[in-house]
Amino acid sequence: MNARLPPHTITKMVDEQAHEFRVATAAYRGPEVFAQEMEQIFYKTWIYLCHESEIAKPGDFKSTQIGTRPVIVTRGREGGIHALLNACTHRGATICREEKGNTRAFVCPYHGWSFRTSGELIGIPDDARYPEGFNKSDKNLKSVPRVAAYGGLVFGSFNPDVEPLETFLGGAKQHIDLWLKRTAGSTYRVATSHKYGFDGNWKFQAENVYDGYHPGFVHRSAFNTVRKFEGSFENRELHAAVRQQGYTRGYPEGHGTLEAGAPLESGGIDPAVRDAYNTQLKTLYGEDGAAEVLTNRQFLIFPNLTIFDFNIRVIQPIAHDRTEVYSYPLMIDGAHDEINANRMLDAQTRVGTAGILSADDIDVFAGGQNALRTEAFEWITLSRGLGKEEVKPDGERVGVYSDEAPQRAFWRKWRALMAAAA
Amino acid sequence: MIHPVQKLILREAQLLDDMQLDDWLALYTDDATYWVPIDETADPLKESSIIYDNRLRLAMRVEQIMRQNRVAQNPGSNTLRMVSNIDIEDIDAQTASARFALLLTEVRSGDWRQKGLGETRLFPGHCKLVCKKVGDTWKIQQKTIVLLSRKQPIVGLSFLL
Ligand code: FES
Ligand SMILES: [Fe+2]
Repeated sequence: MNARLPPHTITKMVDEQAHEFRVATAAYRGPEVFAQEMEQIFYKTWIYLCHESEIAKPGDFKSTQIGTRPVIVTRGREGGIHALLNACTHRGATICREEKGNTRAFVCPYHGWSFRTSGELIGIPDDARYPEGFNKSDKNLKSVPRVAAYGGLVFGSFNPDVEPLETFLGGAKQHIDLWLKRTAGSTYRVATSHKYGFDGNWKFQAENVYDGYHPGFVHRSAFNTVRKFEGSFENRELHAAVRQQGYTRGYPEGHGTLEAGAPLESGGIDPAVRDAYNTQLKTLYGEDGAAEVLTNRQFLIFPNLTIFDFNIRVIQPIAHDRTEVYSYPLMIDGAHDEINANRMLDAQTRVGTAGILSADDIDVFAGGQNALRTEAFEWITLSRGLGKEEVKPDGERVGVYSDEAPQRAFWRKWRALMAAAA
Repeated sequence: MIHPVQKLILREAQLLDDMQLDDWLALYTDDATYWVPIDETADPLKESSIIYDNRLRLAMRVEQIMRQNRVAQNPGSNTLRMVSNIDIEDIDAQTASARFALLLTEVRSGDWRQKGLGETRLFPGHCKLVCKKVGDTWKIQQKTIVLLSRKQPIVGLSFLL
């Protein structure tokens, strides 16, 4: 283990004054900060594991990570969700080598110990050679101590004393509830994830998802293209470099949103099909309720889960200078095929591996990592909208679309967790 | 005699390598589909792909790269396509299918010392085509590129495969 950076060093990295909110570039740099982020953030708070639809049936499993620790999420025979360390309790071989699947049991490839999907040890080949009194009961696969779900989103925590999931979600809960309403009374099913990687720090992607200041620049090429191809995307305010409509929000729990203040749907869907869906929403939630549900909204649940209208994006830290992103298109169970095909192509064409938007963001992240080599460059500034945002009694801060309100919420939370007692 | 579809395959590779993307797009029929699957056995409208484009979305990609100066192609990619194991099957006088192996090598230009640039990336894959004779010319109606690395994270694809 690396030596821990003391609280005063961490605290100084996020410098908040009345006229300036700045973050030390050291907070993005090097293996020491990264190791501490794993310990103090990824192993202390709730981390997203999967969507319930990925492990719908008993025996379903998915291999994933909490921080850099390999974890298997499973559906047990009895229907419960388990999160297990992907390490055999015999001599530590990796138990599960698949990304996902369904099985009755995990059989270790090394010496054949077998475990139920709940983690329970069920077989040791030739177990007569173990000594009298050998304890099998502590040889089950190790569990992640806490697992909980909200709105189909499954989280795990290595911290047995972690706060209740709903307390952790705080201000993000209402946005999850709104997002769920898009299913018009049904449920989401996630499709296979689009995956991309970049040689850069994970926080570059975290800060980017609710950055309403960058689209007119990084994505100008995409917007100009969309403008040339009439009807490919609707409702875009494509003429202003900096969008004037919409909001950003930051919450004391570290979460934040970017809300366009209008739907940002793509074209190419049969108007009758779209109308039927919209009518269904109006019947369920009323005229205003339906409009609110359809408003484009993306939010980050601290530290690394992003929810968009059409997809769930998981930001997976691999190392201080390496990140992977898994973007899962969200299908609505039972919706018209055209609605789902449209959601699929939207998530794919915009923000998939070959997205007309995301590939350009990724290039900026690699550039950001490159700039970190200049250690003489000490601070970046996140002051946009500071002091101009509305601060609500519960600590929610509301800014305009291009403000850096959600990024500041992220860094306040980052500082609090990183400087907390181990 | 060289099959005209073989010439089409080589011409496509050349146009892509030479960044003549408008001419490349003209090799495709109006009803063309261009598919880079993650699961090549799945329905691309129900399961995720890396790319599943119709002619319109392909034209948008060409526009974004050629005339809109997209960030991730600035500086741009240099590519080399090695095409081999070509196997062409005539279906009827107007239709043929083809399979071939592709080894695409890509290098971004610019300041090679910087993160994201200066790396040589390989994209090996199996390609399938369905070609149509439109008038006197053979065009591509369906193209599928099954990348070997399709199930893993790939750096953002900002150029055409
Ligand atoms: S390490 Fe798994 S059975 Fe020996
Ligand atoms: Fe972006």
